[in-house]
Amino acid sequence: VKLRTAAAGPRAPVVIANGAEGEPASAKDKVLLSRAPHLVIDGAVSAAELTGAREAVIVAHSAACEAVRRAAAERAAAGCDPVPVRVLEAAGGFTAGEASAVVHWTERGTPVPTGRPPRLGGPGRRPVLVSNVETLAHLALIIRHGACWFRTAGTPVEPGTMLVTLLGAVRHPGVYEVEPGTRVIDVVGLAGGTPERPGALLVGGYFGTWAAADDVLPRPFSAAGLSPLGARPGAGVVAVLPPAACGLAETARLVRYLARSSAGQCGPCVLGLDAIARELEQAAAGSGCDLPRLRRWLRDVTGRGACRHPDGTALMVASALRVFRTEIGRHARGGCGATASAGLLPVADRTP
Amino acid sequence: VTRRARLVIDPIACDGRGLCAELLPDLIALDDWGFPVILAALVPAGMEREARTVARLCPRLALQVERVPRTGNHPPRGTSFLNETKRLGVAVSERRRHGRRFYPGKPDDHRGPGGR
Repeated sequence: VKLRTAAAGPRAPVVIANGAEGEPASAKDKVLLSRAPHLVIDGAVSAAELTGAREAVIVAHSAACEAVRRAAAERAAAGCDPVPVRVLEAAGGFTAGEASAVVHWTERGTPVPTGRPPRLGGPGRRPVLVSNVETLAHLALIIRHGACWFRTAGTPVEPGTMLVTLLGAVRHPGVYEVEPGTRVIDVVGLAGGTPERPGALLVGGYFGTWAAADDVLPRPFSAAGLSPLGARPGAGVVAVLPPAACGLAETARLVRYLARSSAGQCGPCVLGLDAIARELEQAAAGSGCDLPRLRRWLRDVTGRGACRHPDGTALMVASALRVFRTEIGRHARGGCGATASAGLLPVADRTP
Repeated sequence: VTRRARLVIDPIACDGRGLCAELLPDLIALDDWGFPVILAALVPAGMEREARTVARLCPRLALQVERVPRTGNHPPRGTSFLNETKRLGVAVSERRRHGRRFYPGKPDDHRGPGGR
C-alpha cells in the first residue's frame, strides 16, 4: 500500500530504510544490517525502482553503520544500482527511530518527530517512503524468490518470518528468526529456554505489553495470537522477567527512561510521562501510589503528542498495572516479593 | 449542506498558555499540566464563529478550527493540523464564504462566553 501511494505521487519520492532502532532492548535491525547489508540495500533499491524514486537512503544505527557503508561502497564500485544509495548514521535516542523523526533527520538533520505523515512529503517537501530495514529485506527476498515462496512460512494472514530479540532470563539472549504463529514458549526455547519458571514477559518492546508467563507462553507469537492479551509482536522484542525480579520496579525504571527519551516537543508527553514515572517510582519505593489518578493520567497522555510516544508508554504501563496488581498491593503494605535488584532491561543505547 | 467543524491542536506548537480553555470552557479543558484537552468531538454549530476567533487569538497559533471531511472518512490521526496547503485552502474558502478579511470584523464577533 505504501509503495503504491508513493509511486502515485506527482513528485519523485525518496526511499528511506529505517534502521535507526532507537529501542535499546531490540537488536534485530543492527544484526540484520551488520550481517546482510546487501539484502537491505537490494530491498531499498527495488522499492526505489518500483516507486520511481531518485534516491535510496539507508539510515543505520551507529553500531551497524560501518558494515552498511562498506556494502554501499562495494556496490558503487560495481555500479550495479540504478539509483544512488546514501548511507546515513542514525541519530541516537529512543524517539529518533520514529518514522517521521527519521525523515526529519534525513532531510533536515533534526531527529525529532514531526507528526506529519511522511508519504505526503517530508520537511524537504519530497514524498517519502519509510520502511523498516526488515520489511525491505523481505521485499528483496520476495522479488528474488516470489510471493509463493514467501508464503510457505508463517500464517496465511501473516506470511514470512520475523526477527525477534530475546533477552532477560533466557539462556542465550540474542536475535532469532521465527515464523509468526510459533508458540511463545517455543520462541523462548530458541534462546535455550528459561533457567527457571519466569514470572512475566514483556512482549513487543517498550511500547509492548506485560503478560503473566502462564497466559502468554502457550499462545502463538503473531498479531492474531497475541491480541486476546492486548499484546502485539510489535518491535519483536520478548523480554523474560526472572521470578526473583520485581515487575513494578522494572516498569518504573522503564517509564523513567521513556520519560527522559521524550523528544521534548509536546507538553502532555514531557510533563505527563514524568508524572507517571514519578508515581511508579513512589509505588516501587513503597510510599504508596494513587492508582485512580495514575489511570486517569494514562488516559490523559494518550493521543496528546505529535507521535505515539506517550500512547505507547501508556499502553505498557496499563498492562503493568494489570499484571503486577498483587505486586503493587504488596508494595503498598511495605513489602516486595523480589529478591534480586531490578536492572533487567537496558535503558541506554548499547552496541550488540 | 453545512459541514461541521472540529478543533485541532498542534501539540508541538502548543505550550500550554491556556487561553483557549479560558475562552472556550465548554469545548476545551486543561489537564493536570495545564495543556488543553478537547472535550467535544465537533464544534456546536452556534459556536463556530467564536471558536474561529479564539483560534486566531492563540498566541502560539496552535489551535485550529478544521472542517470535518464530508465523506466521514477521517484522515489518519495527526495528519490535518500540519497540512498547510489544506489549512490555507480552508481558511481561504472560509473567508470567501463570509465575504470578509482575515481579522474578525465587527466588534460584536468578539462576544465570548463571558463577553459583552
